[in-house]
Amino acid sequence: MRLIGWFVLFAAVVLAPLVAATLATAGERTLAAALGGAGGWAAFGVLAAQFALVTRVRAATAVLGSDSLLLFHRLMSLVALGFLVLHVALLAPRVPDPLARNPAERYGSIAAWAAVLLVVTSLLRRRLRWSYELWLVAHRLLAIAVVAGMAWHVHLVLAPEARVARALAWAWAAAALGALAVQRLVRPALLRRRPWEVVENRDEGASTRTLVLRAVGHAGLRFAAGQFVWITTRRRGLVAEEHPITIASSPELDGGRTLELAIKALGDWSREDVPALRPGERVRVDGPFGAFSYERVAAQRLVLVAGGVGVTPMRSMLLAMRDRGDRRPAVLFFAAHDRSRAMFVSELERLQEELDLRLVLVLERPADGERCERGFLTAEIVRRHLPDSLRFTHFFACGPPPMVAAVERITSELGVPATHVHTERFDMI
Amino acid sequence: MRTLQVRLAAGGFTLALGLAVAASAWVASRTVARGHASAPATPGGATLDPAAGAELFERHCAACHAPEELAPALAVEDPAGAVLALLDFLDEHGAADPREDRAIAAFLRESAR
Repeated sequence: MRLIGWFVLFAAVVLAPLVAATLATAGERTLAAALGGAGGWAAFGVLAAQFALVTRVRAATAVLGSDSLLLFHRLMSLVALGFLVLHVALLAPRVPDPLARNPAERYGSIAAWAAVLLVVTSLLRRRLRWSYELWLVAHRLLAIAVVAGMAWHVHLVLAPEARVARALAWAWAAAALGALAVQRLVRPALLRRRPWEVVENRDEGASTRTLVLRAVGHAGLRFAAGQFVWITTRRRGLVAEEHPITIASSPELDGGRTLELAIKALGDWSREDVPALRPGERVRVDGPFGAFSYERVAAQRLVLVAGGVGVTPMRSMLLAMRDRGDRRPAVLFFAAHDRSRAMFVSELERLQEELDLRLVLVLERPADGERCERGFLTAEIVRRHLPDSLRFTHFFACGPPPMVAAVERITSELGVPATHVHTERFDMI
Repeated sequence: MRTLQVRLAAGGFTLALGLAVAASAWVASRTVARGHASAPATPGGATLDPAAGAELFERHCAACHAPEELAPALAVEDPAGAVLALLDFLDEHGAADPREDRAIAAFLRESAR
């Protein structure tokens, strides 16, 4: 389905409860009460649809990109909160009380406060110094409280005749919670039947390790170069942690039965659990996901911009081009602090002899005599290494959000059409 | 998608949703209800037929109370708080369920007018 199709589907899911409720309650309220009620239904629709944005529907992530869906999810949470505030401000004469004796008020208050906590803990996760895993558990529990509370509240406040609106509210709540159950329970059970085994755990330097995985008893994974997977390793306490990692190897490697995942040491899992993985251990791999791939566009020239560990999808793409004999011209701008932190740099330098590839290192702290560009990536640096005409040239940028934002600005200055710029932001969560 | 594209999509969607909310509110407030020029609202938004509330009052409350005994408590400038207090009271008092309590409250509010 194309982009506009997904957007229309999302709008339909959000608006259906509002339309049903409007028809059910027409003519029974003042304008202020009607506005407050409609605001509540808008919040309900958005909050229920939020589950769909993060349930890893492969067809959706292949078109929209997982990081774009995540950003949209965050923005929609603020929209839902705004409509929720409107609902409470216009209809509740007092601050929502989760312990109210009136059940309609009680469940509505629980949902409202859970929604506020959900947004606040997401915005302030780092300031609260919560680990990602702790935040994720709290986020899911609060989301369940929001949806269940909203559905009960709606069930109690609607008139008996509003059967369609009531049924829709319960159906939407069930669909949202069902989507969560599928993602957390059903999917892992199915993936356990398609295990992957660690073949090698290699130190690449630059605080990076490469896990080489082989499919056990199945045909492996068909993926587009640049996509990522969610990998689950052994449990840490009660939680089996899942982490999004870009596939660093070529799709042609062993017909997809072997994957290479390059993992930089950034948190507890990558610093402690990953180095401890031994050959023979089994892990779970869910994927592939993402829209970040040169295979999805008709480009005559590729410009790849990578920052730090953002070079992993670029490695996958360049190795795929090598394996397929793809001789389209490509330029890779690789930004890093210094050469020692530029992972795979020697391999990328060698690839220049096998592809029509120019590697441009952009180092903040180059060694004396190092042949590279200095500082941060700028439009001037990009212009120096590209022809004047950028027609049919597609840009791919992957790295920390500030670097990706800089690339978006630079390509805009260069007059590159937005449809020719593809980005993937790391560190989105 | 670029960051700007995502933000524009979210902004456009929010605008459309805001217009839908405003349209819904206009529709809900303009159409005349069945048999009532303007039915009173109860906290929680949805209103109920005071006639149904009258019947419920007769069934659950009339044995011990008269409407004119309770209605004056709702004849205040901002009745929403008073109605909430009444609903809290009715929740613990009597055999009506929460929806019936609101109908009774709507009847008493109408009586208070």
